Amino acid sequence: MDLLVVEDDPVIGKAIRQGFMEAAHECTWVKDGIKGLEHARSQQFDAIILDLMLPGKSGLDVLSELRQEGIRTPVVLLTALGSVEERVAGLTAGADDYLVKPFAFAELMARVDAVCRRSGGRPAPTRTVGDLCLDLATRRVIRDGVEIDLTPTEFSLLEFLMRYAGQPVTRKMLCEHLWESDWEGATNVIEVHINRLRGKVDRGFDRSMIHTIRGRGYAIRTT
Amino acid sequence: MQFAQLKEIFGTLRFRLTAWNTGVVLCVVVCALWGVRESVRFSLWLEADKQLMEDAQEIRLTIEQLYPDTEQIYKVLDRKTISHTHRRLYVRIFDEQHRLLWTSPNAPAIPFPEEDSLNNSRKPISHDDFRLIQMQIDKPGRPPWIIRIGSSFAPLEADVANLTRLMLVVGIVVLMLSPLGGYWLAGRATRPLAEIISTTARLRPNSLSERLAIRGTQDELDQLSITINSFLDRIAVYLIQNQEFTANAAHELRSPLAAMQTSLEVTLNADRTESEYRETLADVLAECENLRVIVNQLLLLSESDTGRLPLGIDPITYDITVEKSVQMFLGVAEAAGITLHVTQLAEANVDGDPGRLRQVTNNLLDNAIKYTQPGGEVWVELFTQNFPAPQAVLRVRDTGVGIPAEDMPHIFERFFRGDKARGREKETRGTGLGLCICQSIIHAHSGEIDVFSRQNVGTTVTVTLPLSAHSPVSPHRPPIFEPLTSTALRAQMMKQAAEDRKTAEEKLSVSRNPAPPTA
Repeated sequence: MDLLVVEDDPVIGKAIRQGFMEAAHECTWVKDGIKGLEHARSQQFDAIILDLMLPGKSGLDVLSELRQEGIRTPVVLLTALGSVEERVAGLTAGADDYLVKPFAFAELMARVDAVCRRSGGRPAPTRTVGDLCLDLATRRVIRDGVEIDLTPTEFSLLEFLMRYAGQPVTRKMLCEHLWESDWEGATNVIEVHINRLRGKVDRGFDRSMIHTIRGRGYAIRTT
Repeated sequence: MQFAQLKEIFGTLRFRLTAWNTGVVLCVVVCALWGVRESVRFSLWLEADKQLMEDAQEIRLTIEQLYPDTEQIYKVLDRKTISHTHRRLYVRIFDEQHRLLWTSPNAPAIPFPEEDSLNNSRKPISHDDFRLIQMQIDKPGRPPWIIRIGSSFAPLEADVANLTRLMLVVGIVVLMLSPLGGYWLAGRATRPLAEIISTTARLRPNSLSERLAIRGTQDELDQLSITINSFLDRIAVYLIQNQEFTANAAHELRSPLAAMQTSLEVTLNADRTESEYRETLADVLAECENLRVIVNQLLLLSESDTGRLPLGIDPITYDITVEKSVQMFLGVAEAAGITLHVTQLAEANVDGDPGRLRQVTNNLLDNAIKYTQPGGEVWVELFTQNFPAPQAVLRVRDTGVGIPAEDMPHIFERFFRGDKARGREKETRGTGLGLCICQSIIHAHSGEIDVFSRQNVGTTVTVTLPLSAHSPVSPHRPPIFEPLTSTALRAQMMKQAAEDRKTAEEKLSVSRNPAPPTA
């Protein structure tokens, strides 16, 4: 992917660029709204990550001008406030998604992926990671030729992990995907289901696929 | 500059009180004086008319008595008019054909008014400067002569004019004295106000101990002082709470910061292997997550304190909110060896923010499971009632460790944590803001939250929310489900979830607002 990051905070901007470059994406980082607008006009990006509070020109102004000029590049907004009014204003101005600081980088990556895919077209009906294969149409899961029987929650969990195969998926993302609400309490409501899923997917195979990444969440990968 | 000063003086309460006072006194005095003058004038006129009438009667009697000695009559009349020169009394006598028989020499050379108007009215009329009266002799055997007499009312008007002059003098004196008195009185009345102003002006947010003096007169100004004092008391209490809250919040934030600082410092002290660095970074990340949760909770409380807690006001299906929370915690309950029952889940629409209400339900379920030992049970029921108002009632009951009686008054306090040993160790770690946030959210929805607990028996939390005006009230709906064990409910919900899943498949990729912070 070719991404444009418009962010004035040097630490966040640097981290985002590094994160995406290490995930083998092209990433251009500019620090103010005017430069951001220039870049967005002159070059075709796959997605723009736009901070709302920017020197020169606010993120909301940049977004409105882009949309008025007919530039339809997907935009993910970043903000520190996250009030309802602000979110509504951002989405009304033509943003595709919205993330409140502080956020997990994995979530930003997942959301950028999602807005790019959405603008790209229908997702594939099947997902494959290593010898694990999931069919969205028939809702069947097969590993190494053996069919695995999953509950709907487990299926949904696995499907989500496989959508971001190789990348860490945070608890917050999983909670929102499974139950449409985040849960910030100390109780790990996801772990139970991950353990069950592990029991079904990894049991009997020598390589486990579902990994816990300390402090970050979970990931499905072949190694 | 000078104009501004004048404006300041004219704008003072004292000046305005004086002006009003003077105005009112003047009006009263002018009205009173005018009234007195008019009534004096009226009675003088009445008196003069009575006198005139008596004169006419006297003349009639004289004529009746002395007739036919006309010489004598005229002599008597002449004498009478002379004795009343100060009011210019005059007499004219006519026969029945209105021919003049006799006139007193002082009679004015003014034409008499129309016959009709005088006729035998026996009532005085005014003409020119004179009051006139006519009377006819009607005694048998006497000629029906007509007597006309008149007297000037100039002396009377002169008396009234004297009185008016006197009253003008009185009025001017009052006009000069009343502003002075008024100014003095207004000064007396507003002096306590000046004290209140100077005391209040001295107050600063960091020194709110001073209070206004109460004079003990129980008047309005005392009431004002009492009101201001109680307002100051409330502000002081609020400030103390706020300072405590800030101190507690800082303390809460310091713990993760200290943890991060220490682990980073220690890691940097020596060369480490990659896996050791990874471990440190993961620790720091976990502490960051803690910080994020605390900051989100503090933000939510601060928003609710200032009444800015953003809430949707759309009617939402509360039963679905509760159901989703139950789904979220079914797995946890099962893993903890606790049976989660949903005994009743009545349809209930309330106005509010589904995310926030969900947060409350999540918290209640989490607490119930957290503080219940393996083998225990948690019951959830949602029903509607019409009394005392149409409301939805959510009840979460557990067979857990309960809350000690001495802790009960504090459970909604910020950062209050009960005895650390009462739950399972690791998972009971929290910020101490959960219940407080629940209360804030429920209050923002015009609802109530009550906790009933007995130690070692269990805890029941009841949340009541006003039903949406748009929702039909269905009192005492029979339970949708038979009392269900978590497994049975799970099966039922999974079936439902499976049906929904097809449409919900791309849920995350559909543009949705990030969920609000959860306690």
